[in-house]
Amino acid sequence: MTSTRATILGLSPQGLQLVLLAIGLLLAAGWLGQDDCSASGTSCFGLVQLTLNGVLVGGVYALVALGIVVVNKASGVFNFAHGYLMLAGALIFWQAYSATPSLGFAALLAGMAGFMAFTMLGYNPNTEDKRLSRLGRLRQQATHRRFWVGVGMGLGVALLLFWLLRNLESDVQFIITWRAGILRGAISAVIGSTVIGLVVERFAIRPLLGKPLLTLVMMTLAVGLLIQGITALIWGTQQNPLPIFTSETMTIRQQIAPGVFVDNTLPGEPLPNYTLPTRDLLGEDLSFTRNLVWGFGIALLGFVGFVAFFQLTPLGLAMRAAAENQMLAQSVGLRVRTLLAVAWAIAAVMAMAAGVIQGTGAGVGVSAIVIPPLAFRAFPAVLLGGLESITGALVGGILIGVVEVLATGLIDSATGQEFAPFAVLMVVLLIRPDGLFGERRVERV
Amino acid sequence: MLGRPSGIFNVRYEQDSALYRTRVDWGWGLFVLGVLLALPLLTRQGLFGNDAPLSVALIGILTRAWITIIAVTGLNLLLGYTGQVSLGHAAFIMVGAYTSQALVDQLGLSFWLALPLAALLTGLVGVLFGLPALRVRGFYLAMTTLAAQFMIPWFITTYQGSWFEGLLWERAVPALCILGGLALGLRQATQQTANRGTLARAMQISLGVVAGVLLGLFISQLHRLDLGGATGKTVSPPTINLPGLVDWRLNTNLSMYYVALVSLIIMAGAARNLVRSHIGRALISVRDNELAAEQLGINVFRYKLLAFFLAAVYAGVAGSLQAHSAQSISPSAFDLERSILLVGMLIIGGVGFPLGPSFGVLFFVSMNDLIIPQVRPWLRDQLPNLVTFVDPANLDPALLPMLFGATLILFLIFEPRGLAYRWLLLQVAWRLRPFIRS
Repeated sequence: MTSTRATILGLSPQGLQLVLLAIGLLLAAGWLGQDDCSASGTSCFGLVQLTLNGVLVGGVYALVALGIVVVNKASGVFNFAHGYLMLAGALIFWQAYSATPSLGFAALLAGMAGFMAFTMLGYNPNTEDKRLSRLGRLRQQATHRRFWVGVGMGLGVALLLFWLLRNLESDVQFIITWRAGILRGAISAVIGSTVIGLVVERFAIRPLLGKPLLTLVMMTLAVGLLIQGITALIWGTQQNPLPIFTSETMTIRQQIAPGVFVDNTLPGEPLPNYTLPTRDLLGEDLSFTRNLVWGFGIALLGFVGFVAFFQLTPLGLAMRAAAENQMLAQSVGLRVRTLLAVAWAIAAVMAMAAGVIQGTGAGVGVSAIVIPPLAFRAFPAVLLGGLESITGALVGGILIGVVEVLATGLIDSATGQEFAPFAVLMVVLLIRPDGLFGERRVERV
Repeated sequence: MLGRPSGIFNVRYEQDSALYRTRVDWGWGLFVLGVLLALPLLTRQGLFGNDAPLSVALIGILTRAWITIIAVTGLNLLLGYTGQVSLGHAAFIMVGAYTSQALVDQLGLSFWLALPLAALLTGLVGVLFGLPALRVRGFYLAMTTLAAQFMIPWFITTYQGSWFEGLLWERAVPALCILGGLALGLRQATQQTANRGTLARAMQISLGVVAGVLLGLFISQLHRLDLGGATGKTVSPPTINLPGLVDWRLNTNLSMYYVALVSLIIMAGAARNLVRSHIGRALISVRDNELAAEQLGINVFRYKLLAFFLAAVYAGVAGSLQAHSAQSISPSAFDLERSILLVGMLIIGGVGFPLGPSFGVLFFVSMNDLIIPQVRPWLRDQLPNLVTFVDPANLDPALLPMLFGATLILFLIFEPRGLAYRWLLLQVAWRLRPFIRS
């Protein structure tokens, strides 16, 4: 049906792509060909610095985009609540980081972490297989039982320790350090965001499986509203400073009466920026703030970790199989609904990590105003990379980060954050809606 | 089919597609209209003195509700009848509000002229963001509206008149607009598909030219405008000025109530009429099955663009009314949350039902303006006893998203067809009584 092919300005989509690509290449060649970068209003050094900063910022976008891609692959829904999952996870991190340390709290965390490790490691995504021997079936039942035994034991031990240690707290001298705060925050945020992900999946997404896409999209928006309201109720809308990478000071928040809190700041040294000795090459040394570098490192680590999880572990393979073809996966005995829950939990943990990294920025902090829009700016990254592609999430995230930081540096932050990513989104949708690495959808007629 | 009274049969097509099929329907319609018209008279500023049964503030709340219903009706045309999601409706309302402010307060037009012009310009912006419909569909198209939700507020808050100075914007682009309008009108008039009279063709051409001239004039004046940046602007109230007869400034709650109500009746009536016309059937066929619609000879792209245009026009009317009744505009009132709330209202009310927008908006308004202010003081007292770690001051920003989000989740799971569907079932049950099984 070539007669109904869509055309723009008389060109087929492919022809248009080629023309635009040629124009882009010409522009890029002209820009690079000049002797200095003065045409852009800033020095070569400034451009290199901005671009590298953009790459570092893009790492966080890649992590956000990966979280969205994981949920999209598992449940076929674009998660508009991702920004609020980021906010909730980061706030839990901040709360545990800045709460007065206590032994009971530590015990609770240890117990929960133990139970999660116990159950997750022993989890087998296969359902009962009729072909198994009797022994095999028993082993499988034992695996499933192990989950609930793990839940019970972990919670029981945690509560017991919590109860036992509550009364000892005042006698024990705690070591309050910045690193302990980070550890406390990380463990509780992982547990908290896992629970949030599981709850959202169980009570909001699972009842809607098989419903039209609009219903699912609206559900993620409604979940976002609900989480926004709950976080606003518990933590308010102020900025909560979380300078865990840039300085060793930390703030301990103590509650002295219902609803009344006092912040005590422990002294600590601010940490210097990282620099690269490029004085000979560019005239100045490149310098990167610590939170950007660490954030990029953690994002990349998380990225590699999750890719390894999807490629190597049985659970990850099962999730990929379910994403590929749900019916087929079900018919070979995979528990698709459980896999969906796991995907949401993983996405929530990824969102938490991205939210924490974003919250460590200097002068930003964990705030309901700053963090959720970051997820919306990551949507162009997802579409640019392709909705189904993990590589695409990385490439798209870094590209969007570069675009945003360049536009922010060369024009202003409103342009960088509100215009540039979405301009990229519009261009991607017009030229290559499936993204760089996405699956080509078969055009209907 | 549903809700048809027993014993009354449609024997002609006119009967089948009539808005009010029976005299009882007419009676109910007139009764509701009368009540709505009489409501402001029951306040202190109306017929009663200080012991009036209704407060003036309630009339203000209702005025905002009527304006929101207009906006949601546009969304219903797009989402309910054409099946395209829009997450940028608040941004289109913003375009309408700011255009109307600029036309009235800075270019000196009358409000009554600025309202339709602002709506038309908003429609054009809607078409602009609907253009990707040529290449993408469904969820991807929703992403372009999300882009609109971020790009339009960016444009308005960073707007500087100096961008549009110079010959290019003051002469060349307006000339292009006029030429483009002429070309579009000619193209429409010379299409072979329908046999129309000479008059219709002339009207199409002149319509295109007029639209082009208006747009060109507006663009040539862009450099004079000041949109107020991040702080916003004040807006003058509408006036009715007939020399020698009347000179009214409609700056009270009561007068804007009537302006909003009349606009609502016109816009909602237009939407209902549109839906039962051939255009409405085409839109519905695009929603139900794009492939089949295309096979029937319906230009899916054009009808999607039309739906975007219509939704944006409704948003523009709502924006203009909102700006002039609130008498101030600021960018923070048109954020993504408002877009989400608008879609949420439509879903609670009933997507694709004519009464859906009214039900949804009234539900939201009663929650936001009537229930929450009642509950909040009580919660503020009780909360420190229930959960000690919560600061009661946090209740203000938290209550609405929590309650509305939870309600929306419950509706999506248990009644995705919304309140309008329940209302229909109730009507059927009432008509079939006593033979209905509870």
